[in-house]
Amino acid sequence: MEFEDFSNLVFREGENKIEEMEIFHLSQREMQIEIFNNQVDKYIISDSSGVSLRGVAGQGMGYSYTEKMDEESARMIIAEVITNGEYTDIIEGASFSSPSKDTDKRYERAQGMDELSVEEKIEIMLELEKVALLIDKRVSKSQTCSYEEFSLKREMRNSKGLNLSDSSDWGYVYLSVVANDGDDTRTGSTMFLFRNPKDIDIAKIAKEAVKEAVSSLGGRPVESGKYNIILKNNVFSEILEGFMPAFTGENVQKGLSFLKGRIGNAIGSEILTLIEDPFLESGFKTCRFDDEGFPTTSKTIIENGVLKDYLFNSRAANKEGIVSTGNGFRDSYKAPVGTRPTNLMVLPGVISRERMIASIDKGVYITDVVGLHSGLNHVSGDFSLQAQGFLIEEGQLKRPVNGITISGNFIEILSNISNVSDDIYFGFPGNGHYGAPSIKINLIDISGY
Amino acid sequence: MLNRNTVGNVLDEALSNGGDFAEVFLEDKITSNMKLVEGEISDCLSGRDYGIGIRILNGTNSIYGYTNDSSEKSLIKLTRLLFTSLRGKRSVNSKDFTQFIRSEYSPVQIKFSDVIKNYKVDLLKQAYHAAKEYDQVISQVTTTYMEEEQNIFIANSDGLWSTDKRTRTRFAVSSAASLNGEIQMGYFAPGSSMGYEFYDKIDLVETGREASRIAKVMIYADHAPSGRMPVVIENGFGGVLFHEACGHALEASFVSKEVSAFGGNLGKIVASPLITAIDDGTMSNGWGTTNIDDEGTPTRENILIENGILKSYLIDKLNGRRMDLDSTGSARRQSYRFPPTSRMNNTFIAPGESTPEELIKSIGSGLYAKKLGGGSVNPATGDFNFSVMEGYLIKNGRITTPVRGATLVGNGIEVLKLIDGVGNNLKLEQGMCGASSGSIPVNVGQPAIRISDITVGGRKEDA
Repeated sequence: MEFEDFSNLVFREGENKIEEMEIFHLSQREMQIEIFNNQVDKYIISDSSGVSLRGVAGQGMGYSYTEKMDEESARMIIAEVITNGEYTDIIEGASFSSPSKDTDKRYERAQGMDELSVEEKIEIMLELEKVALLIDKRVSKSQTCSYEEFSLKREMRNSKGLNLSDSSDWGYVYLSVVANDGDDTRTGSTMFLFRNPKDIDIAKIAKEAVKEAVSSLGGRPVESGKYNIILKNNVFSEILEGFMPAFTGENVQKGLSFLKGRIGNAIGSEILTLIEDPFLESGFKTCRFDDEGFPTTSKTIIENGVLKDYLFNSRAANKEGIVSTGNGFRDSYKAPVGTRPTNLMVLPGVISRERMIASIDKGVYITDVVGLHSGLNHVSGDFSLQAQGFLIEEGQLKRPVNGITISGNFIEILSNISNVSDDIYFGFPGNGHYGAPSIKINLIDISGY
Repeated sequence: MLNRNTVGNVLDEALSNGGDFAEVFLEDKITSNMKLVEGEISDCLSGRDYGIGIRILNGTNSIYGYTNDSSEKSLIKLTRLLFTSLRGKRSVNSKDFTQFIRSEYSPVQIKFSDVIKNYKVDLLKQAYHAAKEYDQVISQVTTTYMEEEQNIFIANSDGLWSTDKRTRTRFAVSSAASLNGEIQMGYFAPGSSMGYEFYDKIDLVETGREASRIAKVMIYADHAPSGRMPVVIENGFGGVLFHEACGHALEASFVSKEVSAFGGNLGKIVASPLITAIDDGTMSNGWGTTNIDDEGTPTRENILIENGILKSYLIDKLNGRRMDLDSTGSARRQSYRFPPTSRMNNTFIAPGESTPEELIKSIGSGLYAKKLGGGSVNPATGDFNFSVMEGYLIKNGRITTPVRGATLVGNGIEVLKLIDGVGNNLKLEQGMCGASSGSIPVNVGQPAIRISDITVGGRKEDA
């Protein structure tokens, strides 16, 4: 059954049983190619979708989902929404959005994905692996050489007459290579986002991954202590993403955020400004409406170091007596509506990263951190992360560093930012699309030997 | 479920297009979750996952496709899309399928659907009150209840015709303690491959109090020290050390591509002689137990390391082809959306001779990691990290003040040789493991162990 028929059926069957309801459909076409040892190691295609129904029944809002669209499933999700609603205590629940002119404009993406055939895409990836393994004799193996493209479509309807849809097409190439010099083994990787596979820059991807792997060979810890550090743009954007749950109204209301009660307070250095731009042309989370149908909005979250605003979905907004800020998104149709930003970025400065490094007499340039899902606590703001990079002495990169941790508190990091470079980088679009420049931070704890 | 003709036709189509092995995997899963915050049920969600994955192997190449539409027409279309260029010769006779009779390692006494939600809400409230009332510093408690019944069906071109039912439930308590503007968390989440009778076997008051106990200890804790030092890691979730430091690198998906730090070492010494490590997919009602793996191979007990010597890898069919070794029943996947690959089930270090007290008593100055959080590893280099949820300083052989915020980092190859004491108190605990075939339930476990020297990433220079 197609979504249109299925949603008509659900609305017809549910009309007299559920007070208000909303149906949300996400369909996804996906293609993935993995190359290993000059062969197509893995090839995956899919065409899948799922439907989520939520509605007010009894006193609360019930949720249910299904991946099978037939009459039996329509009846099942209606019955489940009713039961689940009856057991839910939260009376001030989410609210449904009315149709609005802000969400009317459709964001249809350019369809560049099909400009190359599957065979041509495979050729690109075979070539990428080959090129990468010719650059340096210490790099003789790829760990992952993969291509993935998505075509996503969102559709939603509610009993207030809302009827919205949009789509998004994008893809990425990920290359990770293994370097070995007889004594040490290191890996290096690059991720490359695209909307049109013709834009894939093989030479650049290969060069970056190989450079990272080879340059980190022989890395060893530095002595434990406090150091001035440079956090490379990709690292800062990952740390920002890790702490983002603290910026949501939902967690602030529950007392599960170290940013509670800090609106209007300085939480960072004066040179730090953080904005959300849902309409950013180059952003991969660009959209006109959130997963509850509310219009997305541009906002400044941190302005010159001062915390200005939290992000709200409709449930948290209702509790606060305000309108949703258009940040109600779901991980999938299986999950309840959470809160996340669209495109989020730290405004870049004017100095180059090289000059920032040159300004440090003794310090560490951090190029990678690992363990963000366990070593970073977005409730307390504390973190302790496995890191690698380079020792800086007299403004020069002296030697690779590995086997260390950087530790501290997020507010401490933001407050100790002494410079922001001009090299903004957007990471992998996950729980939002995060862009950040490299930053210089004074006196951070490093644990080594 | 699918009928024999449809399955036969789909497998035929797959082989006629150039495969030498084809497999159909169907999943039909019912889930239900409830969450209680601030004493009220805030989310109540249930649903049905349903989809089919088709996998074709040709030598060591693999292709995979999935869809939610299980009609024969849709499956044949998907199969044709998967492979169009090659021609093969084999064909499958649908009469050749043999129903596989499987073992039942996780019998279920009470089905979730036979218990009304009121009782489940009561469980949430019971644990909530126990956690909330534990101490004045406990400012927020969230309890969640999860149940799922996953029905799978697997048929392949070797004539396999098999089904499995995986019934699982998990109960999580997350407590926050607040003091002077600071917040610290405690977490405890027991789970099992069991029906509703699981709740007759665990004490929810104790579960709630345990999460709050950790949060309370941590809110009064000082920052952890930095630098290298001896560490005792307590039993239970401490087993995440072996899981990250070694287990992942023993998965055939890395070994077969020669991108594992442990590759090429079968029969060689890879760990301290005190170490015997086992992965057992058959453990009765184990959180990571399945009767068959996700390729239909019966699960079994695999001895990975015996007295320090590497005995076995964890192998699935595809990587077994690359390594010329048989499957160890270790193929797993989160759902039909993932092709299966070699993963862990219930992994643990076997008990040794020492008492936990003896391990601690021998340390002049170091760290006692009572509870670990999660971690990760780069299997190619063996570099790993994991966080300490609840830690204490050891001074002169005694556990002293609590410390927070420590991460342990090291290298798998090195750390296994630095384990110089193994306790006699084996315990397993539950976790979710994320890798290329998705997020799957696993048990990790160990007795208390002592590591002579490892990097602790804290914020103080002196221990």
